[in-house]
Parts: sequence; C-alpha cells; structure tokens
Amino acid sequence: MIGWDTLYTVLLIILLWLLLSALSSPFEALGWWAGWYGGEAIEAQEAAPAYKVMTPPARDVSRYIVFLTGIAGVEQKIYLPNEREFLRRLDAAVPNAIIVDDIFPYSVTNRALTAQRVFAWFWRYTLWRKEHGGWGGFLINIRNLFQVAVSADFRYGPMYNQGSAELIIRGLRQHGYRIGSGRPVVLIGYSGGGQIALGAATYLKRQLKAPIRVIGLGGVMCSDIGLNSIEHLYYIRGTRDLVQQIGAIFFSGRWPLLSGSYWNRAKEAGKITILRFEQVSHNGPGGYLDDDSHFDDGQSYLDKTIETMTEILNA
Amino acid sequence: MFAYHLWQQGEPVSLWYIVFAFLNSNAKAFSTALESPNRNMLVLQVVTVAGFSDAVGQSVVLFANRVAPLRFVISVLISMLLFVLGYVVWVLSLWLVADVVFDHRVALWRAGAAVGLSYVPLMLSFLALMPYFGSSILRLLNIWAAMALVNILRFSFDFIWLEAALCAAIGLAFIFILRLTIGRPVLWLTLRLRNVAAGKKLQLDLSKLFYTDESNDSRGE
Repeated sequence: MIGWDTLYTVLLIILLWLLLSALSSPFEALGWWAGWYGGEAIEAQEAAPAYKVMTPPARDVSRYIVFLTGIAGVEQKIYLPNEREFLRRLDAAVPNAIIVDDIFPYSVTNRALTAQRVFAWFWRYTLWRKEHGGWGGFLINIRNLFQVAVSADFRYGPMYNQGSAELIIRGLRQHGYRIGSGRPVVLIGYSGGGQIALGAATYLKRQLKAPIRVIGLGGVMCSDIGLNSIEHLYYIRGTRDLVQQIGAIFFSGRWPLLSGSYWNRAKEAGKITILRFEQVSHNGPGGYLDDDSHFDDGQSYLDKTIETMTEILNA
Repeated sequence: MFAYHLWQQGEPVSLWYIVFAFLNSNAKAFSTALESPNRNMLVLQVVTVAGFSDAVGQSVVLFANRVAPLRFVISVLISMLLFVLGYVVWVLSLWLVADVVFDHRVALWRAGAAVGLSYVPLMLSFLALMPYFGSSILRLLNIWAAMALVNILRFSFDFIWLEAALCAAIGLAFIFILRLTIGRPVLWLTLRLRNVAAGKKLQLDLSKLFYTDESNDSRGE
C-alpha cells in the first residue's frame, strides 16, 4: 500500500514538474525572437528565398489548407493514426485543395520534441511511455498546452505567433503556394492548434494578403487579436468535449461580460460560427476523429467532421 | 505595541528561516530578524533576491528588444541594482513620512528592516515568467507585499492600522511626486543605464513594441 509520504513526494514532483514546465515554456520562442539560436532573428522577407519551393502541383488548386495538430503532437509528421486517416479522407473530399500537414505548431523553430533538443532523449522516452499506455501522454500534453498559453500571452504571444506564421508560410511555399497570389488559406486547428492558428493569423494576413479562414476543431482559443485578420472562424465543439472549455473558462476575453474583447466583438460581427456536435468528446474513442463511434443516423464521428469541413471549405 | 524585549540579540538565522517565519507570521519574522545579529545582511539578502527575481520575471522586455546574451546578463544585474536603489528610496520615504506627518521617530535601520522584510513575497517575482497567468501572479505578489508592509509598519513603527496604511500611501504618493519633479534626472539616468547595458535603446512598453500601428508597419509588410 502506498503511504502518505510517497503520495506527498509524488504530488510534489508533479507540482515541481508543472512549475518548471510553465516557467521554461516561453524561452524557446523568446530565444528564437532574440536571435540567440545563431544569427539574427528570421524576418520573413529575408528568409523567404532560402525556403525550398516545390513546383506547384498539376491539379487545379483553389485553396490551401494548413492542419495544425493537437497538443498530443510531438513532431512535424502527423503520427496519430486517427489524424492521418482524417487527413487522408479530407484530401479525398476536397481534391482541389492542397493540405499542408508537416508543421509542428508547438515549436517556433519547428523542432520535434524527440529530435535536435538537449532533452530529446527524455521526450523519446516519454513518447515510448505514451505508446505503451503510460503517463507519457500527460507530460506531452502539458508541455504543449503551455506553448498554447505562450501564444495566448499578451507579452509572449506576438513573438511566438510571428514564429508560427513563419512556419506556416514556409510550409505553404514548400507546397507550392505563391505569396501574393491571393489564394485563400484555411487553417484547421485541432485542440491547441486552434490558438496557434488564431495567433498566427495577424502575421499571415499581412504577408499573404489573402483571405484566411480558421476552423477550430475542439479548439482551445483565447480572445486573440488574430480574429480581426480572418474572414471567419468556424468553431466545431463537441458537447462532451471538456478540453475546448479550457479556453472559455481560463481566457477572460471569452467571458461574455467582457463585451469589448476581440472574441466578443468578432462574435457580435457574425465572424464566429459555432457548430455543435452532440455527444462528441475531444479525442480518442468518442472524439471528433473516431470512426468507430456513430450518430443516430449511422454516420461516424469522423465522417461528420469531414462532411462539416468539406461544407465549410466549399462554401 | 512592539515587544521591545525582542531587541536582544540572539543567534544568527538564515534567509530561509526568515522566509518561512514570514509565511507563518509577519510579526514573528520581523522580531526574529531584529533579534538576529546578522539582521542587516538578512534584509540585504531578501531585497537582493527579490530584485534578482523581479529582474528575471521582467526579462521578457530584454528578449522582446532582442538583447544579446551577455548584455542580457548585464541588464538583469543592472535591473537588480536599480531594484535595490528603489528599496533605499522607499525606506527613506516611509521614514520621512513617519517622522514628518505622524511624528513617529524610528531608527532608520528599523525602517529598513521593516520595508526589507515586506519584500519577501517579491522573492517569487520570477513567477511572472509563467505564460498567461504570470502578470496576474505578479500583481497578487505586489498586493501581498503591500499588505505585509502595512502589517509590519504597524508593529515596527508602533502605528495603528489606519496610520500604517496612510503612511504607506503617503510614502507612495511622495515617491510619485519625486518621480515627476526632482527625480526626473535620476529616472533619465536609470533609463540611460539600462540602454547602455542593453546596447540599444530599449522599448520598455511591450504594447508599444507589438500592438501599435507603427510597430505593425515595421514588421511583415
């Protein structure tokens, strides 16, 4: 039987981990902004020629979709099977769109947690623990959730979000997007990716000069100034999704009584459409991307998500 | 009424002992510090650690202004030094207000100890680094420090509650007046010192740096 001393020790370790994780979370973005990782901080126009530009695809592309993964992500490559399946079906559903899905939104330097870091070994072990049903998922989620908080922070946000915008622009260019073409861009932010999308929107709009729409799939989002720069926010919310409520509870700008906030002004202007998914939770079984859970009409949750997004994309 | 028999010198105590005593009771911490033969060093330690913690907590300004690593360290040390100087001004202000307005004459070192110990909550100012909640935490710490100051002034200056609160308020107003009048050259000098340490003209207001049309036009377009 576990004694009180052991329990206290474990609780203390968890609290210390949370504290250290929170306190250290802004430094990657701050160091990048300050140019501490070698050379000057990257400005978009300076860095642009260095990006690898792929030949535009042969098919007629009417829009670009950028998928920003949820806080369970650890690297640029989408590794969760349900996210991969979601992207495969979405790609089939909107053949005239290019999907950019190789951005790790919880690092402004686009570095995977499991590589090119001092603590990469730790994150590899954590991922291994997660994949074997252990506590690893909790640590990864907490780490990435603090990056979402950095993006939402009044002080850190502008730096982090410019970094995210740089990554998205680089991803778009690598998939053949031509800056200045005015081709519409849709950002799909799953979970914490919703905040990253909104945060980056201000800087994307300035550089792309194209219509930007955001789809928040169970998005954890604050009242971000980025709402001023987008055409529309489609907010898909499951009635059993408790994670998306983090944003509504903790980000004061989303409280209805603060009528002057970016969020409430955007809502009043009709820029936010909330799409409720009955009985759907955030992730895993019963989540937005679950193909094994079904609505009363027999449609799977994943198909419903795809169908809703297709309607939005074709609107 | 402060227990004067506690002035007898006791054993030296550590900084952490005082911190924990403070968390338990402001009065206990103050009397323990006064009893201690190393009281001046203790107060200096509290103020210095609080200053360093505050400088680290506010270091986002240095990052935002893209200060180089070595200059960053120097700037943090300068901020710490300025924090300690601010403490000295605060002590003198309260000591003067107590004497002139309330006709309470207390020893200067006693005022120094009182104000210094009220800085214990500010030793946690580094928590301002915390994303999203950091600024609110810093505000709470400042409120805590202000309440502790009033509490400590009460028994260290032999004040009633209202006198202690008024003394702190008038002292604060006095400093504001100083900043707007004869303190301006000093303020200019401190700004200059910060800029020299950073190696560039610092924009200390992040909202001006990131949220004005001018700042927006300078990036991205």
